[in-house]
Amino acid sequence: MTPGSAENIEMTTDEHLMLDFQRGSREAFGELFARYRDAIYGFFRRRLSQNERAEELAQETFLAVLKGIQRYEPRAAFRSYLYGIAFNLLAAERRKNPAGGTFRERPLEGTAEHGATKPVGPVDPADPVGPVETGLWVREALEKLDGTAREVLLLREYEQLSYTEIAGLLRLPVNTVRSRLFRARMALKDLLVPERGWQGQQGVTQRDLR
Amino acid sequence: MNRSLQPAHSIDPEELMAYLDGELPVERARECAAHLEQCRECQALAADLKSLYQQMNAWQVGAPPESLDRAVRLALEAESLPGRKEGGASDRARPLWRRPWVWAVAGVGTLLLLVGVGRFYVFWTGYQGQDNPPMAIMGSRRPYAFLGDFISWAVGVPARPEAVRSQVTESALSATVAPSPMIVRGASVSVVTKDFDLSRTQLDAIQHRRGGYAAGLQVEAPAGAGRTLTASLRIPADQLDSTLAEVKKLGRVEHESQSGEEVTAQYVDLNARLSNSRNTEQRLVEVLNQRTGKMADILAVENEIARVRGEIEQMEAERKSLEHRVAYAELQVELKEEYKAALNVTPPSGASQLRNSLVEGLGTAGDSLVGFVQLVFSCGPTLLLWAAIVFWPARVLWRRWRVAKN
Repeated sequence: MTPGSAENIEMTTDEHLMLDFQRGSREAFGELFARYRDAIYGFFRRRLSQNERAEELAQETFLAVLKGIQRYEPRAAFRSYLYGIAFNLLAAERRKNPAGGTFRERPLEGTAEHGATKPVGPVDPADPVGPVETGLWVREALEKLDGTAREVLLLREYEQLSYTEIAGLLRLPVNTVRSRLFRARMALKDLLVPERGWQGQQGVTQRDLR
Repeated sequence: MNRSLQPAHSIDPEELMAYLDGELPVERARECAAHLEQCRECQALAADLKSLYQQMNAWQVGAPPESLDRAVRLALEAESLPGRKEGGASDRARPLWRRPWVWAVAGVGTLLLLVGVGRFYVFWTGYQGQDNPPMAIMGSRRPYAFLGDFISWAVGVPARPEAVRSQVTESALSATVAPSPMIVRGASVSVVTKDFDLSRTQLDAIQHRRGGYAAGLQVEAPAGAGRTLTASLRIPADQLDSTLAEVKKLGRVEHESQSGEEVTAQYVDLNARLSNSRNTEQRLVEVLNQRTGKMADILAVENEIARVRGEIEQMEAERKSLEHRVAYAELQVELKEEYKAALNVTPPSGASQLRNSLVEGLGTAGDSLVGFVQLVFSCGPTLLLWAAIVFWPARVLWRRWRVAKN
């Protein structure tokens, strides 16, 4: 296989793309960026109060991959490596700016309390305002969880990391990750169910869409 | 929600969750699947978890803005990819702290710094021990002279040769009218002689012949050691060299040194001050003779004359002493008798020898302990200081290195 050839690039693993990039293939990095841009952006968006900071940090994450390419050794999955960088940047941001480092302080637009000021629904690509956030009640509920439980749950549900990967990132034993995840899920279920059930919330969404 | 699960349950809820997450090993997953088909409670929990998954999926944050793509693409284009040139490139991109030679250079540098600081400390304490405080030395001489002293001392060249010093004074003097240079000479010689009494007589003879005199003389005759004569002789300056040569013939020369101090400037300055004071005295005497005034004024003038005369006398004494020091060189002679130990006919008993050794050993042990404590006290603060300075960078480097290694 020619490294980085156009027809094969989509079939190549992340780790091979990194090695191709190490050998000088810009296309390989382009493919990696395409694979992870949404995920990394989402990672920061879900954890920071300012969208601009989220975008900047996503950018910094990819720049760090770019700068550190010569140091990369395919010992672990690229995904773990990438989230490791993102997680470190997030930790630095939280240290630097404890208030903005969490989404807790972000004013909730379009929540039920303030009335639906923003459309709650699928992403509208033509929306000039920027990326649209949906399902804010989930965010509200997640905010009530404690730090580690929330982080474990977020990493599992949105970043789709395995227990082992989460354990590596948070430096916890795998068993601890599993039990925390379970407790977080149960707690979140309780938070989501009594206030507005899944059915009820869907009703709101559909009403707002019309 | 308070689901009470029977203790006899073969699959605990956490495991069920792990199964749904695809995190169980195959064997256990099979058991779990079988159990789930039968257990209603577990089915309910599974349904809850699935519903939770769907609910959480409702929180979507949208796609990143175009600006992110643009920024990353720009950075990608700006990045010079080292892979285009194979070999060598990886070394260039390797961070500094992963190159062994950087560590070697840093280590050697730190060592040199520590040694340098140590030597400087020793030099500084030596410098302070001199007659002149170091700040005065640094102020009176060109600022780099101090540095020069240190370097010449550190590399082992004898520090501050006298010639340099007198050159400086001479060049400073050349502006004023200088008579023949006035040099206070001095010499010291240490001689070991076999026949102490004969040497001593000869020394007296030499001193008389050369027209000198003894300013001080001391003889010591301790038991179990040779006699020592220490004399401070004053010899006419022009006779010093020949006297020295004669003294050296008395026995084996153990040590000899000579010195010369240029005092021309001091002498000229003293003479100028003296003539000034004499003029002042002259004028005051004229004032006293010619002017008439109140008694108080006359007394004041007389007091002033007395003060100026006192100064003149002091300066004249100083000048005489200077002239004398120039005219008569100081010769320190140390005459040592070669000691022939008498045979000890009654050697000490074995027990007392052992006892003496023990006492000596204990003394040495105590000394070494004190020496060690002294070493700790004298070097400890410096080492601590440098440890404090070097600790944080070293820790940062170490951490980076460890991160890079991982």
